[in-house]
Amino acid sequence: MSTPYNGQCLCGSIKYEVDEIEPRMGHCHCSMCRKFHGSAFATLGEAKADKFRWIQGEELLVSYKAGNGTVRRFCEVCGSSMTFAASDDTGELIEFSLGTLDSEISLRPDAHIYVGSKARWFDIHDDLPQYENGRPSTKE
Amino acid sequence: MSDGKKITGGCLCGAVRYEVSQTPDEDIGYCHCRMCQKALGGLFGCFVIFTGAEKANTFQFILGAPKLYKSSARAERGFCAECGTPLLFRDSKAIAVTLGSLDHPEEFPPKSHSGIESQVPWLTIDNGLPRWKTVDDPYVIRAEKPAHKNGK
Repeated sequence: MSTPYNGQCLCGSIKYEVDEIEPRMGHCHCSMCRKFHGSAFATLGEAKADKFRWIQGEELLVSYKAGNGTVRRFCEVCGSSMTFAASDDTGELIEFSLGTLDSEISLRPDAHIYVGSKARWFDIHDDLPQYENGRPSTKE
Repeated sequence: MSDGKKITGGCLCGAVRYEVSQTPDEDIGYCHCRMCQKALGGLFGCFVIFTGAEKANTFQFILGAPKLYKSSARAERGFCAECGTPLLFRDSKAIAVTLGSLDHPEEFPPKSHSGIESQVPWLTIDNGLPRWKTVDDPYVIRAEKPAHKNGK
């Protein structure tokens, strides 16, 4: 599990490196993440901006800004869902889709957030803390 | 569908909408293959499959159309070019839509796990559903051996 960690989109046009991943790693069950990932939930890793670099294809990231001000980015070529930013994002942290990471990591997801919007067809099978909305310590 | 009700879905921003007027295949499932993880940026994909939909003309876009990415020799994946939502997987046999893009995903509970050779080892999904590797996946077997019901 040597650093930097590496990730890329499905087609390989976009590549990134991460030096250090923050311990906060959540499964987000909100309806927008479920749509954006076309799945049951999103799992997002976080890194400080100076610990994360696009090493190829950053220009291929397409931004989608939703009505609530959140911004999600995806690969223009293959559609891989790549990043999330909250409406009050300061740019200090980047949240990236864990499914695009290729390296092994020792960190594990630590919570389920926005469980109030969870897909009814998906049951949570672990003992991680669950929050109806965002984490108690974060702004919503 | 037999009751005439159409299955509908679309992307996050609403630019692409689709509807299907056929009953889905039985094998609605989670796919843990690495390509689905990448395409969806998540830990697994979930798909509702409509075999023969293209030929029967039972699947159509009622608003917009997805951008297509040829992800392998036999298949392509479609996503919204505006908001990036992964919408479908398509090959010569079937059109499969992402469960999360359906308007009513709760009506289509997954019944299996495929691609388990790539399942993220720390993902806990302990729901008792059947699990198979890609090589043993009934859908893949059907796709690769289309003409012979007995497999050989």
